[in-house]
Amino acid sequence: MNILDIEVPLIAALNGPVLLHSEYVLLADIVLATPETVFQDKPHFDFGIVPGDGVNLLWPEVIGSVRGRHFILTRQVLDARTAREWGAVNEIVPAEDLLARAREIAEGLAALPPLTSRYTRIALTQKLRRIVDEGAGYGLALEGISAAEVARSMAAQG
Amino acid sequence: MSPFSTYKYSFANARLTRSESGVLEVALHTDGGKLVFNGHTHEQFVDLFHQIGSDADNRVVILTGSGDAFMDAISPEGFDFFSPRGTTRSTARARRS
Repeated sequence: MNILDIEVPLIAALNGPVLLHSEYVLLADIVLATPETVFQDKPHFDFGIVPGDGVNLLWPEVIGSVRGRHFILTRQVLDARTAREWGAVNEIVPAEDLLARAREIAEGLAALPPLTSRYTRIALTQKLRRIVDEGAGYGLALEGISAAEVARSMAAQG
Repeated sequence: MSPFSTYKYSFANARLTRSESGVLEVALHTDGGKLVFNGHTHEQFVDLFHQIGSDADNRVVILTGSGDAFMDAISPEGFDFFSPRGTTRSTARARRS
């Protein structure tokens, strides 16, 4: 995944709901969210296809195996507070202060020696990289097969 | 390594600004408002993340959205799940993003 190829600290500043591609967020090192932010994996099951693009790997890794699978399977809506309790969000920040807080953290990191901040990101994401490298290809193949089946049934129904 | 000016305005759905100290802010958007994700933005973000990662002057990255959501809207435009070739393309794209 090339978000992991961004080899400098990555801060996600969530200005509201994340109903798709939440893997972008879970590959960040620091996650700030407004109180209105909620998480859900919506479009995969809405379209009837396997959520195999990495959310299947990352949610169980971040919030725990049982919680993560339940989140995906039930299209659970996770509010910012619960997401913070479960370890997917670091701080809840009012919308008007969100970017200022992100910049404050970012400037602190930018003051580190350049190789140090860069290599710390790499060191911190080794395990995530292994998980993604190991599972994303297979998950996406399963998603593709399920998409072909959905397309076939839609075509059959005219 | 490409200097910031060569890609700053290359992405229709990402507004890029960088501070003196190298903090890059990436605000995803559609026409300045909330992002509507589609097959084209999917492709675009692969290139976007690649460019950001290739520029050693980016010291820290802030990823944010626009309007009232980070990402909550999707449009089927530009996705092709209806042919093996289309699926292969989407899969390859997702692997790289």
